[in-house]
Amino acid sequence: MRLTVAARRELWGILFIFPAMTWILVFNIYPMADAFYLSLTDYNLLQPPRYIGFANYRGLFGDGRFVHSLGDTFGYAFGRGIPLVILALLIALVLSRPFRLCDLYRTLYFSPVVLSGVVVSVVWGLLYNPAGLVNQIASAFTQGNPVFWLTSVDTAPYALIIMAVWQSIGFYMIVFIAGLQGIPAEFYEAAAIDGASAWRRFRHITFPLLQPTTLFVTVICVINGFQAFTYQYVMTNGGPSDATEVLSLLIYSTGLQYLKMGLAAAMSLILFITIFVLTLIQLRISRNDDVSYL
Amino acid sequence: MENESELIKQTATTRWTVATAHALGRLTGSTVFYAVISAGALLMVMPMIWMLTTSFKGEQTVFDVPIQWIAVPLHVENYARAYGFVAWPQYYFNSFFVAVAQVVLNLSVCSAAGFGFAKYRFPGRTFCFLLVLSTLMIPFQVIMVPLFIVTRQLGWLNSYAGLIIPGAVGAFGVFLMRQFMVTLPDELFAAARIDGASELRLFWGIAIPLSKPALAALAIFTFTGSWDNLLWPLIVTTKSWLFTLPLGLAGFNSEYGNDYTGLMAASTAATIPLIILFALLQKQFVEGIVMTGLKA
Repeated sequence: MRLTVAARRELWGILFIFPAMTWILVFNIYPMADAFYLSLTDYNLLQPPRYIGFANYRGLFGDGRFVHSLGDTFGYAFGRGIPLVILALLIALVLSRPFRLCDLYRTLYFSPVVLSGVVVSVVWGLLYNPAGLVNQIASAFTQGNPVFWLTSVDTAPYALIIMAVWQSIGFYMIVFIAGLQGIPAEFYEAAAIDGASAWRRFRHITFPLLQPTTLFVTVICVINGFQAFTYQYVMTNGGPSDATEVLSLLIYSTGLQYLKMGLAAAMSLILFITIFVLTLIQLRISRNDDVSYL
Repeated sequence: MENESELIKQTATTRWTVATAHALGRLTGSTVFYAVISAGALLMVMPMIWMLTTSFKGEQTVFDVPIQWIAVPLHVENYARAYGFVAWPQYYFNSFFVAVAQVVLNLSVCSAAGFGFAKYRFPGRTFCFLLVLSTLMIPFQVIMVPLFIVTRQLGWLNSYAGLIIPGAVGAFGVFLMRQFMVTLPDELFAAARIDGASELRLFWGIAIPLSKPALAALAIFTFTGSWDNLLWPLIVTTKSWLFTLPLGLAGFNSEYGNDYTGLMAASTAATIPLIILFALLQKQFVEGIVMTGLKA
C-alpha cells in the first residue's frame, strides 16, 4: 500500500506523540477519572469498590479532623505564600541591579533551593530543638525560656512556615529578577528625565510591568503550598495534636495507611477543586487590573 | 580683586564640601547596602553551615553556648558511624538509578511529543494537546491513591519499574518541549526534506540539537525532582533495598533521631551530589527557572 506524502507525515506526527499520550492517559487521566469514581465508593483494596453516592463527601464535612486539616492547609498555603512573594520581590528589587559581587549574593540567597526537602526537615528539626540554634538566637527575646517550636500547638505551624519561606525564597527571587530585567530601561530613563522619585518609579513602572510575573509567582506559590507534604511528614507527622496535619498528609494516611481509598479520593477532589478555584480567582483578579503600556 | 579670589576660594570650598558629602554619602550608602544584604545572606547560609560543622562535632558539644562554628577536634567518625547504621550505598544507587532513568525517559518521550505537536498536522492534534494542558493542572496529591492502585494492578509495587515509570513522563515536559520547538523555523525542516532527510533524521539531526537549552532545563528539573521525591517512593516501596535517599534519611531520622551528629553527617553526605550538580550547571539551573518557572 502506498501512502501519499501528506498521509505519511500525519502518521509520523501521531507516532511522535504516541508514547507521551499513552503515558499521560495511563498515569494521569485514568487516575484522575478513577479518583472521581472512587470518591463515590467505599473501597479498601480487598473487596471491590461499593457505590455509596455522595456519602464520603457528606461524611467529610461533618468530620472535625478533615475540616481542621483543610484549615491547616489554607493557613500554611497563605501563611507561607504571602510573606514568600513579598520578601522574594523585595530581595529581587535589591539584588536585580548590577553591583560588585551581585552574582555571589544571588547564589547565596538561592542556595537553600538546592537542598532536598528531607535534608531541610532534618536539619531544621535540630535547629528548632529547645536547646538549638533558633532558641539560642531568640533567647534575647524570650528571657532564656526555651520555646518548644515543633511540639507546641501555637508555634509549630509558624516554625514550618519560617523554614519553608527560607528554603523557597531564592527560587521566587530568581523569577522576579528575570521579570525585573525584562522591563525596558527606556521607561526608567524617561522617568528620570521627568524627575520621578524612586517610589513613583516603582509604583508606576516596575509594579505594573511586573504584574504578569507577580501573578505567575503568586499562583505557583499558593499551589505549591497546598501540596505540602515532606516537612510535615518528617518533622511533625501532622502534630502536635493535628496542628500541622495538612491535606496531603491526611490523604496519605487515610488512603494508603488505613486503606479508606474512597474517602481519600473524596479528600483529593476537594483539594483539587480548591486549587482550581483559587487559580481561577487569581487569574480573574489580574485581568481586572491589567494595565497596557503599548 | 580680593573679593574675586575670596569668591573663587569660597566656591572651591563649597565644591569640595559637596563632593566630599556625595562621596561620603555613597560610601555609607554602599556600606549600609552591603551590611544589609550580607546579614540576609548570612541568615540564608547559616543553617547549612550549622549542618556542616555539627556533622564534625562531638556529641557533647552540639548545643554549646556560645555556638562553636568550627569543630575542634574534627570527629570524622560521625560519618563512619552514620554510614554503619543503614544501607546508604544502596540508597545512593537507588536514587541515582531512578533519577537517571527518569531523566532519560522524560527527555526522549517528551522531546518526541513536543516535536510531533510543534511540527506536524494530524487529526486530533488540538484535542490531544488540550488534554496535555489539562493534566498540567492536576496536582500529584489528587491522583496518588488511584496511581497507587494502577501501579499495584501492573504488579509494580516494590520494584524499580514502580519507582521509575509512573512519574517519569509528565505533561509539563511535553508542554515545555512543544513551546520550545514551535519556535524553530519551518524552513529548516522543509530544506532538509528536499535534501531527502527522513522524518527521524529531522527529529534527531535538527530538532534535538537545536533544543538543547530546553532539554537541559527539563533534565535538571527531572533529576532534582526525582532526587528530592519523598512521597512516591514512600507509597510504592516497603522493602528497604528499594529505598531512595529521602526515604532512607527520613527513616534514619525517626530511628536514630537522637544521634544528632550522625544525622548531620548523613544529611551533609546526601546533599553533596546536588551541590556538585548545582556548581557545574549553575547557569542552566537559573536559565531553566527563568525559562519555565513552573516547578518549585
